[in-house]
Amino acid sequence: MIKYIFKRILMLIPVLIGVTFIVYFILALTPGDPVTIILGDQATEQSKEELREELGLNQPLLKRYADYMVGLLKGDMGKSYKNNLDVADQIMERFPNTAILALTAILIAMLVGVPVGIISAKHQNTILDRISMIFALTGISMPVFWLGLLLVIIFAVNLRILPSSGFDTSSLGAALRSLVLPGIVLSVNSMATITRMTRSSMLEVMRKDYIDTARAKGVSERVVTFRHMLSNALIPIITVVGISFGNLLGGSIITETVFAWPGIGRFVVESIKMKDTPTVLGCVIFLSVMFSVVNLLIDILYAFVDPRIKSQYKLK
Amino acid sequence: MKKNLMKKTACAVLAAAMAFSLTACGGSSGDSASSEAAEVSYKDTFTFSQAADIVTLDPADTAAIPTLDVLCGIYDSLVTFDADMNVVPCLATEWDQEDELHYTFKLRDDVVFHNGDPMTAEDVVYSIKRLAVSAKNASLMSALEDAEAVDDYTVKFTLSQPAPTFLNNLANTAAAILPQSYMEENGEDIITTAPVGTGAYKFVEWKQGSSVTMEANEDYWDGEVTTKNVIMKVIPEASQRTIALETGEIDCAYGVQSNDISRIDEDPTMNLLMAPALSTAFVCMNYEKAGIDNKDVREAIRLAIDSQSIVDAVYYGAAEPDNTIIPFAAFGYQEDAAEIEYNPEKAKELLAAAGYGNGFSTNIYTNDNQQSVEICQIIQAQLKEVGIDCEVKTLEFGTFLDKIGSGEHDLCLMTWSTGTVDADFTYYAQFHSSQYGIYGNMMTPDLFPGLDEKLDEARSTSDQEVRMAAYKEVEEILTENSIYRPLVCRSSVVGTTAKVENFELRANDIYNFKHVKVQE
Repeated sequence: MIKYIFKRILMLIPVLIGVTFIVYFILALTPGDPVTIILGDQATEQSKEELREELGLNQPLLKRYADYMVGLLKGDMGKSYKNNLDVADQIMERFPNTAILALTAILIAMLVGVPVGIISAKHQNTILDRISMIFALTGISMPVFWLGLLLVIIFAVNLRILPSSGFDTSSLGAALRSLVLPGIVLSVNSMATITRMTRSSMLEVMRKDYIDTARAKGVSERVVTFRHMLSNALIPIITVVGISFGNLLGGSIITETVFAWPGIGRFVVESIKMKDTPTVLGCVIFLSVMFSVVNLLIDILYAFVDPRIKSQYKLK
Repeated sequence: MKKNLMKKTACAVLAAAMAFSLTACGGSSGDSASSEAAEVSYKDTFTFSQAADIVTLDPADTAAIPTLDVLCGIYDSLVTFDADMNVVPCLATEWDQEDELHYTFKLRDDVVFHNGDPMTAEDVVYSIKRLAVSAKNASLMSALEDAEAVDDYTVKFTLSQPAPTFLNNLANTAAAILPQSYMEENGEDIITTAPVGTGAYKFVEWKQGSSVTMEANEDYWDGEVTTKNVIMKVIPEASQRTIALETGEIDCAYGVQSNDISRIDEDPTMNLLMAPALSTAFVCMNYEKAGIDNKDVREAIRLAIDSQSIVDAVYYGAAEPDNTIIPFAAFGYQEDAAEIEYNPEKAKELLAAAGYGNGFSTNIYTNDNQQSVEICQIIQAQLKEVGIDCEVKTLEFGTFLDKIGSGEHDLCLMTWSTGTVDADFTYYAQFHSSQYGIYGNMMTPDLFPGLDEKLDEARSTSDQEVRMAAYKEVEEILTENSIYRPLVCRSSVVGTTAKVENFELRANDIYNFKHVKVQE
């Protein structure tokens, strides 16, 4: 097991080199001069030249990339072009907000998605099934932007029971209240995916012989559903939850924009607009690592859910 | 709607909006606390919201308006702008310009920084010299040769060349006066985490991407600071800012989007503040292209476009037609500039006379800003009316600048901010032949005789009368030769709740909230 984890962590290295390389060159090759963007209309040619020098932008592209990677190995993500602040500090300032929101969203998605999926499967082709599948389809197809504004109008403007935007951390109650709307909006998409995955995975398991055996033994339907069906249907559900959570950790640009959430998604987009290469790279590296770690955790989780996989790990 | 659209002049004073705020108080609802509303009591916090976060706490290190909008509470400069964009005393009580190259400033002797240090001439010298070598704002002090402290409260500036916008540049928040000893003891970067200024508000906290909190400076030199806390909240979505204003989560929303204007204006619990800003939009022309090189064709294009329809359809009234490319509030704006009429019939006649009776094809380049694209679509439709087939080419900003720099365009739409509050910045960039190839300028020397000379003349002195006369002549040359098509001067639009008092708009979009009060 330990060996397996170690191997997985080693695999991160080529991933990171590939990701940084691609992002670095795409940013460098897109039109638009970061110096002009930073300095704006008012700047003179001389001050532009000085800034270019200061940021090292007059160096050849490959050298800049190499310098960046050397810095990164020393744990230095560099400083933002935009404001000279440490990139790592800025990421750490925003990432917890995104993580809290992502956790809330994935919890909501699981708490609703799994039960609805189970009910849907247990009552296949009934009205209950149809309703939950329509709900899932709506969830997947609804534009997040529209849903966000709709909920804001209902709960913030008309009912005035929840704040319309922002993350108020002045007290726990205030923080929870500000989490409700963005949490729901962000969860809807994953919720729908989880519902559909739970349903189809349950349906598959339901037809297995061991379910008939369990029933024949006289095991209660409750135990059959949760012990025999759900635990065997869990692997694909965990996969979907893991992938969704990994995506959510990357920050949702739209949700964060609609709800003025100080998260990492909006930060990346703003940095891309400013052609703030060190910040974009820092975020991308950080998010790749997070995504890989979440995937690794999911793989480890498989072992606890499924003894067959655990035994495979032991063999390796 | 109409009641707030009365400002025809450059100096839109907010008296009317303020008066409206008083009449609107009665109708407010929502706050349950105001049951015994006999005497007016005030909240201890003013919350405003804007689209972007600040990028830094160091005023010299940014030219970004949203950042300066917050930092103007923490820092003061030697001079500042009043509501009409005149330079007025701030940390300096008076100044004397001995000749084109020498200025002497007398400072207030009762100003202390937030850390308790007194503000002296040494701090001014330190701050201005630091600004002059800063990466992002050195252009403000490009004419500065030397600054020296004559005594504790007198500073002398020596310039290397005449700089008519020197005073305006000193009024910029970027030219804030910083505490020399504090920054030398703790390292310059201390200002980016623990800023200390002389402003009405002391810095408390910056939650990146979310908010900035400030608290009243009790020792403020310019009278009592009435509201204890000021919070800037970042809300990127304009419609969400309006909603937050409606629900009372914020007291003031900067940058109200055009289609929310009537909603705020019609709601008695909210006030709409609107005044012409420093930004204009205009169509640049490339004289090297066949057709555009013909004066009659250029005049026909000018006559075929209706600025008012752009004001109505794109800005929903938050702009006014401008007959020049200079914003109303900037020095050098010619109030009596010849009016550009909308006359498609005459345009057709001119085209026919110029040999384009059957029309011709042209293009207009624009960046991908939504409003710019919409303006171009209107221009496209209006040119079509007179037989000109105009293709709209929409490009990302960097590419747009590259393409128009190489003269690929026939026409291009430019949205422009006269940040120095002086026509020099705009006229010189757009019409002086030394700026050929930058920002749509396609002027070769002597293309329009006299233009370069007049622009140089206006730059060589700070005698405002001489400069004004020069710009009048510039405007005459422009009109005579049908150079460019000025379109509109955009307005700043801010929404507040009806309970907000003493909030002042400024044409440069750096609003004054020093003495703001918010009723309970």
